[in-house]
Amino acid sequence: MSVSLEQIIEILTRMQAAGVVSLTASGPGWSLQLRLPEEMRSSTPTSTATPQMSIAMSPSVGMLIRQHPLQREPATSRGQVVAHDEILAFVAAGLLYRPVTAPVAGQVVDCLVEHGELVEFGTPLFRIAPALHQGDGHAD
Amino acid sequence: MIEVIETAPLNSVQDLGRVGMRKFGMSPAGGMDRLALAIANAVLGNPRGAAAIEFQMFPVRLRILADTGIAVTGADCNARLDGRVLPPWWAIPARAGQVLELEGVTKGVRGYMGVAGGIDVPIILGSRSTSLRDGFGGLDGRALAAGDVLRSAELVAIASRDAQGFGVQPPSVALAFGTAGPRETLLRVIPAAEYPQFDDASQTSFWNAGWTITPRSNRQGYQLAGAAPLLRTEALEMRSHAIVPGTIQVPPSGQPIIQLADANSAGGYPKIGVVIDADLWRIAQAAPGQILRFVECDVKTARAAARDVATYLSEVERLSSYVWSRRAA
Repeated sequence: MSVSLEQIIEILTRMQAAGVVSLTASGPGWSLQLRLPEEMRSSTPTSTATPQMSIAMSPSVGMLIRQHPLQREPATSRGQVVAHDEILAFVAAGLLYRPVTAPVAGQVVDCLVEHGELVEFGTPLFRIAPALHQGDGHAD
Repeated sequence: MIEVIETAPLNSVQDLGRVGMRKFGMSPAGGMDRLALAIANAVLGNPRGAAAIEFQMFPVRLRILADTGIAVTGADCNARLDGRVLPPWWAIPARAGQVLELEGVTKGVRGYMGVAGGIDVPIILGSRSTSLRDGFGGLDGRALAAGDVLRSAELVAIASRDAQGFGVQPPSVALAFGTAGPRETLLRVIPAAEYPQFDDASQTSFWNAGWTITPRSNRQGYQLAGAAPLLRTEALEMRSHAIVPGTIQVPPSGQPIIQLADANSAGGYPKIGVVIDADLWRIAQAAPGQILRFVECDVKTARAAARDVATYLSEVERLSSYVWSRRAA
């Protein structure tokens, strides 16, 4: 039995979606234990009553790309107002660029990781102060 | 299915070209940046040679008529899907009713849009490419116009692990070589049959001078301008002979021309060099006013460069398949 990194990430993503924090599987000659990182265990805050900080996390293991090589500026800077699901940065895993998206509409108050640094699955990358009126936050 | 709401001229359906028809006097046509076109297909799980749209002029507005997946590659065209910015070299699920806008290029010249399943236009002489020069192939042998509807060869809906889609590392990063100045593009060139006929000064300046792309540059070829004309020691007349995209000819003016996708299948000007196949996409993304520099290489280097392109493409194909799931729509 062999499991690729991509398959493990897929399993972790599904665990997160299903609210499963740990998983053990075994068979003749192999066993697999997966534990969801702390940051991934609580899903996106949905309560609008407490304007808690929201964290945009890394979708993958890889290198943080804050400025796309074909663009002149970083995708996001501190203080920027962002829409829900807006792309804030990329994580390069091999030749793939996975998007780092804003979990809520709001304002970017902190960029926690520099361009070019290695990040893990679930590494907190941006802190976002949720907008007071929590619509879907479409700027347009 | 895609409807063209608005388009600038000269945007057309292209694939990897009409290969093997040169013997009948057919130019290959096909995407000018065949690598960007192949990637636009690869990220969607399409065959590499599926038909896509080549954009040379902007703005463009397209309406998605059925759920599908789309990819925009090549030049950064400032693409927006329903107002949301799409980063360069990006693939994303698209829903019926969404509108894709391409505002214009900030870097590069030509953009490509792939559609899951590929674009379905009739195959003529082995290709879906539009021959804009000869008026056949693609959609009725012409450039796209408002009101056109393009069908997918196969209706495929796509789900991505990332709802906002994913991108790939552009080839300008993945396949970078040498050090080019600002507004310069390096091209690897193999000396061609008539290279020895040029005088020493011309041979030297061919490699050392920068060659400016003139406004007389299009899908047929790029006319270049340099400080000093390239001259032969003896002005021999030549019979017309077969040429390929990438052939650098020197007409009597001494200012070179690079023949490209829509070039004639034969020509009679002496050939000083040939841009290697693996670098043709770089020409497609270099705009008039920019400077080309030729770097001498041999067949071995050309083969290694072709392998690098093939590896990049198959790696993108392999990784993309982990992110998508395709199903018949």
